Formats: sequence, structure tokens, C-alpha cells
Amino acid sequence: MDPLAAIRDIFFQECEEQLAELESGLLSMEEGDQDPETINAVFRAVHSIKGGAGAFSLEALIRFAHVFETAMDEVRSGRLAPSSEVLKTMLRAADVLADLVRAARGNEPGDDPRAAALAEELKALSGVTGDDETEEDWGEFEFQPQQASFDGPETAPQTGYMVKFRPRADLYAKANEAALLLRELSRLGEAQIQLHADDVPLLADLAPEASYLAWTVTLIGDVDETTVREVFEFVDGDCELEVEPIGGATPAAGGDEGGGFDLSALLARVQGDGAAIVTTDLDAAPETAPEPVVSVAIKPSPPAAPAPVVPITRAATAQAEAPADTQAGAGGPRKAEVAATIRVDLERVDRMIDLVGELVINQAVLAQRVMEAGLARASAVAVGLDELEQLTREIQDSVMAIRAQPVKSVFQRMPRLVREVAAMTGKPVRLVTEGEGTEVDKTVIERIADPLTHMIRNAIDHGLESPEKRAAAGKPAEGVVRLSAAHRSGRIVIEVADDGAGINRERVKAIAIERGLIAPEATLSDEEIDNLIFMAGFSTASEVSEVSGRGVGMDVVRRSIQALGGRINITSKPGKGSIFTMSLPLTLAVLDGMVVSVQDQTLVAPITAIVETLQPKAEDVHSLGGHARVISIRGGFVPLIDVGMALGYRAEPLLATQGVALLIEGEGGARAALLVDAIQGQRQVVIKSLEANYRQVPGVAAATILGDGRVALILDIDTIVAVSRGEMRKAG
Amino acid sequence: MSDRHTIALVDTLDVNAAGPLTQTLLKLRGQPVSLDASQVRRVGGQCLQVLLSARATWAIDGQAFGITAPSTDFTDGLALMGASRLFEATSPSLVQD
Repeated sequence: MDPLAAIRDIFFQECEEQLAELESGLLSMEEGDQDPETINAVFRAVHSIKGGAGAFSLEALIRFAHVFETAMDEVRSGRLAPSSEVLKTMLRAADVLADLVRAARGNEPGDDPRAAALAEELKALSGVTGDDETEEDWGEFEFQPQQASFDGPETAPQTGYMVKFRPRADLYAKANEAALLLRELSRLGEAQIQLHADDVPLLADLAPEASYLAWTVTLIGDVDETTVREVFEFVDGDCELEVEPIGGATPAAGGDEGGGFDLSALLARVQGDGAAIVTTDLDAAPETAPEPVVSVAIKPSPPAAPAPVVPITRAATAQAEAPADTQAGAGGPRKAEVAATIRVDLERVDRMIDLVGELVINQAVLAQRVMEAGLARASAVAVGLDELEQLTREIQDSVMAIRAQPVKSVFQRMPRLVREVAAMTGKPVRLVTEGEGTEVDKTVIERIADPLTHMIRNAIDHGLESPEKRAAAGKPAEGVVRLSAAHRSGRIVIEVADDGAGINRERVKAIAIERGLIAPEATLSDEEIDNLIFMAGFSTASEVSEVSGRGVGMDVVRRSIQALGGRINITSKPGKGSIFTMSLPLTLAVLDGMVVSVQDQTLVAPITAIVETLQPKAEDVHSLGGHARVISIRGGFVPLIDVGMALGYRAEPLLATQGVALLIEGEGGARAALLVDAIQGQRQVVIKSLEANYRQVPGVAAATILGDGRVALILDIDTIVAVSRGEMRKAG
Repeated sequence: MSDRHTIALVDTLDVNAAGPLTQTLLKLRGQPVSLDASQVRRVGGQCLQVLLSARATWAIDGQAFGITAPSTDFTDGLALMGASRLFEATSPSLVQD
């Protein structure tokens, strides 16, 4: 890849992070967070985007970010109170900024009218009138990178640093070279390099491997202190280093070496009187006169004057400047945090996950062979193998953890959606999110974004009542949509709840009858009625709204969730609202399964679906005619499904008493009992896509490879139940 | 001044060259010396120390010390370390006979 394109890519990736930071900061401010750190974080996000955009000459983005930043600076400096109105404008500005970033990424023109309108609002906030300088700049704004202080209102920009650098002998001994460091440093801007050679002894006293020289570099340029320090990153500890910002005073930086800038005066100011050790006057040495050279030469012993590198009140300044690219205030620790992450190509991680999958299979094969060889369970080999299994599990968990991401990346897209849908429907809505830190596999995250978007749209459009109706029902005008995530028994559970009217069951049932989805005389429980909305072609909004689209409703959501191995469920209370609950696997790569036998075939049932296993008794099983049977479990009846029949392994059903029943809970909480021949055991299996390697097979979710090297099919329990129910209905 | 010794500086004046250069120069102490810098491609901090020290030593001894035909790399290297004037001082008159 073209290096510039790669950098550009990274810039846009970072923009996404900054935008997320920006939005979450603004939202938290909206909730009353007045922590200066939050305000700074918001400012920094906008500032960083502007800075990066400047490097790539993304004009529209720069212009908008500039105005936004100016407004944010007003808030930061306390001149503009972050009222609810101000923050609403800022949130909309964040949306526009996100659009501009995306437009810039795709090389498209930005949404100019919207950006321009919002820019005007922002300018009004920051008190910039049309006559102001900023306004004049608007037309031909050229980005001037500037160093900003992130610890408070912007002061005079930093334009340079005084870098004092004294290598120790170790620096050279470790094959580092002062000259190269100076070269790197001078690349950061305009550098004036001052050599201090006072300590150099006469030749007879000189140890060639020792280090006698020191340098003071006056660096004029637009760099932050971190960048300056990074030059010396690898010689940390092998040199004395002082980096001192030259505050405000911009030295004449245009001249040739030594021209116009009184470095000696500056040095004297910094170092105090009597410490003038400037010795670059080597040139003054005339042919034969030794005197001027004396300052270099006749100091065989350390000078009585203070050491050239004088520690000054740097600590405080460094703290003030260092976090330029990280979080202010907590510069140190935050920096360490940032440095502790790396960006890795997803392909590499996936490759590793594949390999670990193979390792798991291989380990299972090995275990099987050992067992077949008749080795005792207590034998050294078997014990070693157990340890290997533990390790394999741990490796697998660790690798999965690499792919795991907090759901925050999806959740943080929702506030914008809510704002837009709220604006479209005219319903004031507040989004509350919980459990954003809950982690789940990246693939799952990517694939829940769409269903989640749909559900939130639905919650606002269909779930929440109009403000008038809410007022009539004695509810606050502002509706609340709650989005939460949590881990629950090895799965992630995501809930979308609204405090709306709840499902109008009569209407749902009427529509379902009208559309022929259910028989008019059917008696359905409340739960069953609620679940009708997941049926294909069902749409409750009497008018097809712009927001939720036409007829593509919850059935699509349910299918997406099921494709992920997940389930979706609804509970609703009239007048109180509805809760959609999605339960998803944490990863799509492995699965804990119950290995069962059916007609000499080995199959795997996902353990998450299994509630219990039982040995059917003859008196509990009742035939409904045909092959349809039900089994009585603790006073209730659930369908008994012969898996062998359902998958076509046998033509005649197995006697219930000869098999084992797995009581399973499908989507919507519907229960059924799957009849299998025997249970072999429980184990973790690596999921191999059947669709990718063969084709989709009804009733089969995927495949896996067992310890004996054979392929076993993983059951798609929901489909098996659904198909059997359909057949049962026909039979009944 | 026909007895002036000319030392050809090696192309890489790095940490490894500092010791030998010191030894070579020490052996010539008390005599006028001219350093041929035409082959130098890199010059590092420790060799710069040696050159500065030698120059001061020679100055105290009242002997001529000069650098001739500096390569661009040598000149640039010294400039980078703030020592560009080291060789400028070595005006032709110093090294010329």
C-alpha cells in the first residue's frame, strides 16, 4: 500500500475513535458532567481531527472542525456555559463532523449546506460575528498547525523547544550515535545546534570511549513535546535530556545559522548567570592564536561552574505539555495505557483463531488415540494430555479475548440514530445505555449493528407514544429508550426497552388474522401474541412510516439474530412499555456442545439451548397421531421431537423409552424435547461453517471435527423445532 | 613545514574509530598535523571529541593542526553537531605550506 494512503487510513481510523470520544464526552456533559477532563477530551477530539485533516488538506473538514473547536474552546475557558441548548448544538455538530469525516474518507464532497448552517450556529455560540477575523478566514482558510495546551484555555502557542542533550558513554557503547539523534531532532523543525565542549580534556587525558560533549538545540517548529522526546526514546537512560518549551516568545526563525536569535541570552536566562558555557566560538580561532580555543582545551578537570545541563523547573512544564496527544491531567498513566495497545490486522488474528481451532481438534484427536491405546487415566501421558487440554483452553480463551470488543462501538452509534429518529417523529427521546463495556466477539458486534438499529427505530417509532398521548397517560413527555448489555451464562444479552404503550395485543392479533398468519379461532397466550410481531410480513404501524420502512420488520431482525446463533424475545406490559431481549453467543468460533448419537450418527447440540436432559418414561409420552408425540414434564406437555426423524436418518420413530430427551428452550422461550439415542458427553467444539464449505442444510447450523477425526453436524435446534411444529400442526 | 604529517581519516568516524584515531594522534604530538577528511562519510560524537581535543592540544603545543579537503559528509556531519566551524577555522593558510 502506498505509505501515504496507509497513513491516511490510520488517520481515518483514529478519527472514528475521536468521534466516539467526542460524542460520549458531549453526552456525558449533557448529563451534567462538568469535569474539566471531559471538556478537554471533547476539545482534544475536535482538535486532533482538525490537525489530521490539515495534514491531508481536507478543506471542508478543517473549516468545520476549526469553528467547532473555537466554540469548544469557549466552553473550555468558561466563557460559554455548557447549557442543554449549547450541547444539543454541539451534538449535532458532532454528527456533521462525523459526516464530513466519512465524506472525506470516501473522497466525496461534504454536506455543505448543513455544515455551513451548523457552523453559523457554532459561531453564534462562540460569539464570533460576521466581521470577525475568523469570518474573513472562512473563505480561504488555510490550516496552520498549532500547538495547543490541553490543560486549560488556550494560551500563546508553543513554537519551540530548547533541548539539552548530554549523552553518556553508554549511549555510544550501545551503538547509538549522538549525531544521528541530532539529525532526527533537526528534522522536526528549524534547529540551532549549540555544542558544549568544555569538558573535553586534552588528548593525553582523553578516554576515547568516554562522553564529554553536550548539546543545546533550539528547535523552532510545530511539534509537540512528545514528538521531541520520542527522538530520544531509545537512548532513555543513556543521556541527560531536558526539553524546555520556549514559551510564547517566537524567536526569529527564518535566518541562517546563528542569525537574529540571541541564543546566548536565552541560555543565560534559562541557566542563570555564570553558567555561560557556550563554546561554539571555535571559528574564532585564528591560525596561530591559541587563546580562543582555550575555552575548549584547558579544562582537563570538570568545571567549577554548574554543569551545562541545569535542571530547571521542568517537571511542572513537562506535565503541562506532555499530554498533548493523550489525556490531559493524567498524562503519565494515560500515556502508558495508550502505548500498551497495538493495531493488528484482523486477518492475522483470524488466522490465529483458525490455528487454535485446529489445535483444539488436534488435541482432541490425540486424547482419543491415547484412550484407544488403553493407557490408564492416571498414566503420565494421560495426565500430560489433561494439562495440554487446559493449556489449549487457555490459549483459545486468550485468542478469543483478542477479538473481543466492548459493545460500546455499536452502542455509541445509537445516540445519533435516536436524535435523528426523534427529530423525524417529533417525539422527544432520551437514550440510556448500560453495560457498554460488555465484551463480545468482533464478528458478533459487526453483525448486531443492523438489527439493533432497527430495534431502536422501532422502539421510538412504534413503541413510544406521541407526546400528547404520553401526557394524557400521565407520563413525562420525553420517552426513554434503554439499551443495555450484560453477560449472562456464557452469552451476551442485549436489551432494548422503551417506556411506551406496550404491545397492543388486540391489534396485533387482528392484523395477524387479517394477514392470514394465524387462524381466526386460534387461542394464543399473551406471550405468543407478542411474538407474532416477529413473523414475516408483519408490520403494526398503521401507516408505513418513513422511519421504520415498509413491512421489513422484526422478522428480519429475528433472522439476523438467529443467523448469529442468537435468540430474540419480547416481553411487553400494556401502558408500561416493551423489552426486546437478544441473547447471543460470545463468539462464533467455538461452542460448548452436547455430543449425542442418533442412528449411529454423532451430532452436537449447542449446550446453551439445553435446559435439562431426561430419560422418558413410557407413561409420560403421548401420541398425537401420526408421528407427533408430546411428553409430560412436571405437569406440562412439550412436543417430543425425534431428531433422527427430523433429519431423515430413520423412517420409523425411536421408542421414547430407548432414547434420551433433551429439554430445550428455543427462541421466544418455547420448549421442546429432542429425542436422541444416547448422550456421549459434553465438549467444546470448533465451529466449521457448513455453508462456506458445502451449502446450507435445514436443521443443521454448522459442522465440527471430533477427536476421532470424523465430522459431526451441529444441530440448528430452532429450525428443527419450527419444522416439527409445522408438521405437528398439519398432523393435528 | 615539510615535516607535517598527514593523516587520512577513515570513512566512518564512529565509536570504533575514536580509539585508533586517538592513538594515531597521540603518536604525532608535538608535530604539525594535517588531517585529510576527503574520505569521511560519517562522523560521530566520539570522534568529534577526539578532533576537538587534538585541536586544543595542538594549540597549546603551538603546533599547526589542520583539516584538509573535507568531504561534504564530513562538513555536514560537523554542522549537525554544531561544530561546523571547526574546519572553517582551518583556513587554507593554516594547512598550506
